[in-house]
Amino acid sequence: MKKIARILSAFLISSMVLSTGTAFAATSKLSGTIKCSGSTALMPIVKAAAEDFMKANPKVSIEVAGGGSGTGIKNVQDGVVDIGNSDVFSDDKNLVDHQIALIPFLFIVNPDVTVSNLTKDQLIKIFSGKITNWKEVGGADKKITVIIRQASSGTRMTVQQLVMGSEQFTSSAIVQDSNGSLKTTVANTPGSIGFVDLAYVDSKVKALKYEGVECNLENVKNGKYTLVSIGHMYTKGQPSELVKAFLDYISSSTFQNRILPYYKFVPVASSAKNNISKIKLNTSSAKTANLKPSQARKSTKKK
Amino acid sequence: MQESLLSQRVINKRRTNISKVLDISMKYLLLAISLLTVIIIISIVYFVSKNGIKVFDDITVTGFFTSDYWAPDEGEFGILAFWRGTLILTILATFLGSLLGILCAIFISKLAPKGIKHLIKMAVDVFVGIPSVVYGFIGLTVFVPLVRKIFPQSSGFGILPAAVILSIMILPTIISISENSISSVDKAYEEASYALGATKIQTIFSVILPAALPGVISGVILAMARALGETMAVQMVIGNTPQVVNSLLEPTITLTTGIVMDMGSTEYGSTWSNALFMMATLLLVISIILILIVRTVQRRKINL
Repeated sequence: MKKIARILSAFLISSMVLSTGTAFAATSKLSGTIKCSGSTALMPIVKAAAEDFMKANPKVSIEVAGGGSGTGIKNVQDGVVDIGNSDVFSDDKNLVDHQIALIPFLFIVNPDVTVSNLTKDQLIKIFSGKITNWKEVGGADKKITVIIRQASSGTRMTVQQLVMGSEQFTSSAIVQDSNGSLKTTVANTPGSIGFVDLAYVDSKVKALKYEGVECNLENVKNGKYTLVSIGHMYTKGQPSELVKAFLDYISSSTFQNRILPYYKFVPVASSAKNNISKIKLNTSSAKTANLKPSQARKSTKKK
Repeated sequence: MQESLLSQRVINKRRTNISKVLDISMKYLLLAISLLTVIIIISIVYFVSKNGIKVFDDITVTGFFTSDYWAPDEGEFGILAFWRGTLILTILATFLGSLLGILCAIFISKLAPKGIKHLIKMAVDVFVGIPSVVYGFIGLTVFVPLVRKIFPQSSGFGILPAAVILSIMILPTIISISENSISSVDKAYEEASYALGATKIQTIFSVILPAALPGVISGVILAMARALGETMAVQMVIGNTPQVVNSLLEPTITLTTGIVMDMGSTEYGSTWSNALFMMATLLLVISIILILIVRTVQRRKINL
């Protein structure tokens, strides 16, 4: 219900802005189709932008598909879509990066967990399986159930690089394949911990502070909260006039400052952006090099 | 008079000609449709296995099937945990489901009064219509917490809740096929058994059930194929953890849930995607084998 109200109000505001604003008078002659695919974390805002843009330009149709960050980048490389949405960086020199939002993410626990703050070091130990009981981090004597995302998730890559570093996720973690199902599982499993994008947090789970800082839009803007990734829209080469007009709308101050906060995203122009480390799509080299000999298993690779 | 009779004959002849043409064209149309089905099945098998085979360009065959080292971002694809999970889950669910289902089928076909028989049959029909996501949801909100309550040390996710859910899901298949086959056993066997002084229970278990066995076995095997392929309900309660476990209470993974977890975000043509296709091929091969067994069992004559 809350979410519906949020979306409705976002539409209301955006349509008000569109009906009164003059910014779109010049672009209303645009026509054609824009296809985008990729990150599911970014989908809510890309969809909202697409609805607004299509309302202002009735001859334009915009298709927004999910698939995950990796798929988005792959699709735009192949020319299957015009825009590839991703919450991780791509090294491909042919792709032009348009950064559209800051995506805060945070660690959540089941409401029965008494701990309300964890440090990076504690999180690494919990998610790598070295700490298995809440009493070791100041909570009750209760087993920790670790819940993570599947290996292809952009959110998981972000956590791997911003928090875990060279440490591996424990192999006994429960795996969920979307932000939504991870949140539901944490809400239903006593003693569980997981991570989601801020947009997915609700009253059924308890949000944890990271290094003593609460995750909210204000703390992301002023740079206190550091678990943030950047939302990208990649185009292959410079965008066409139509695609550029759409990207311009997303970068417009109207969209950035009035629509994004409704979806719990932070405008990309925030000064905090400069402090965000680059999250790369491919993490394999760093991890293989750090694999401890004791953990090393017989490789399945062909020589 | 003569003329009109003649024209009537011409019309009749024309009619038979038209119906003959219709007949033949209908026959070929149906043939084409049936062939299309066969072509679709063959192309699915071809497409899936063609992509699956490519995984062995990068991964050794023995490594792929016998290693538990599954780390796609490191380029390691060992699917031991996956097929082991599928195997244990399928066998356990089929065992539980068969036990319940066959007994239920005996009750419906031989012991139940007419009213109750109709009631149970209706319930079984309703079972068939329940979407698997509903089973999964019930599993997640009822069975997982229940398992956690009984075994406080576990997270509640694992093969046990998945097997319970699956056994309920495959019940309708087992019940309806077994019931059919039990009901169609020749009445003469039953009467002969009574004539020899056997009780009702003796007759059911020593005469009717053995005679109906090929049908019952087909039902069980078809149910097994269904359990093998079930994805959604299992995914919601098994934990999807690619680890080899020796307990029914620890989270693990199956072939189907492994495929569905990753397929959305792997690049088509990558080793990872090919590994998923190989897992799908493995599932296809197993279900084809199961279907072949059903065919052989059904062809077997009943020898009493």
